[in-house]
Amino acid sequence: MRRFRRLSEDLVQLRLPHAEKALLLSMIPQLHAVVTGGTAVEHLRQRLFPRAYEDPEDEREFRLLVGNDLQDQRMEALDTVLASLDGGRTRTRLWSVELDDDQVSAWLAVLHDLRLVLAQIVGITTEDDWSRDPVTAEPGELVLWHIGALQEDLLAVLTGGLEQA
Amino acid sequence: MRSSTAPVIVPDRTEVPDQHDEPDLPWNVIVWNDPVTLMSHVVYVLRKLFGYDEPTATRLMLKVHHEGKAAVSSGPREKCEFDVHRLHGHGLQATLQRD
Repeated sequence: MRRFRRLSEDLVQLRLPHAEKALLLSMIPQLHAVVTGGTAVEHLRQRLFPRAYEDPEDEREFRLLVGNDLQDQRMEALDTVLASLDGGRTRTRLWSVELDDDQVSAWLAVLHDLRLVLAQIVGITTEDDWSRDPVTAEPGELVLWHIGALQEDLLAVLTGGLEQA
Repeated sequence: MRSSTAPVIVPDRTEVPDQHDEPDLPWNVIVWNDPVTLMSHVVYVLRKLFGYDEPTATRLMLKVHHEGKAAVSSGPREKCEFDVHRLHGHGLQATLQRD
């Protein structure tokens, strides 16, 4: 079942089995904790806020220039995704919600950030770190695959939008 | 600036500027490969941010994937910093480099 599908030019529907919605809901506060930071999660945070320059002085000036903009963007996306998870309709097997363009962008950002951080936790730093066999894959890696499938689904909807533009 | 006592025998255009003082020397925005980001995400972000058509964005994404990095835009420093900032906002590893 496609999780994301376009309903109209301005609306995308997201449908999730309850267990998948619960999984995402459980991960959002953890991503929130990484975004807001602290020394314990600095190695994870670096993945979300990469360097722009190799030169330390250039990098320092760049950080001063951009300030907290990236962190604010990510907090806003997390809030938007949480709000959409709070809404929607619950049926017997599925939960569904309709998303506008801004909400869709927030979902893409959060799904992508979740994968970046989870991959760091699971220890995937090169292409060779991926298990090729789902049977021997770590649980964290299976969640990575699953969120990746959700993200692919959303990207297919968004790419379809670009083609029509 | 040339000394006024020196004979004028060399055209201006042959003077080599000090690279550090040359404001117009272009910068490049480099996107780096990582093992987690989906190929379709890179293609989508390059199309959305830079307006590339699908074949161009796909070619750049494949260059990142196979060669480890690719220059995706270039120009004055301020423009490239803005581009890097937007790429970071979309979760891509991007840096600035000078030509």
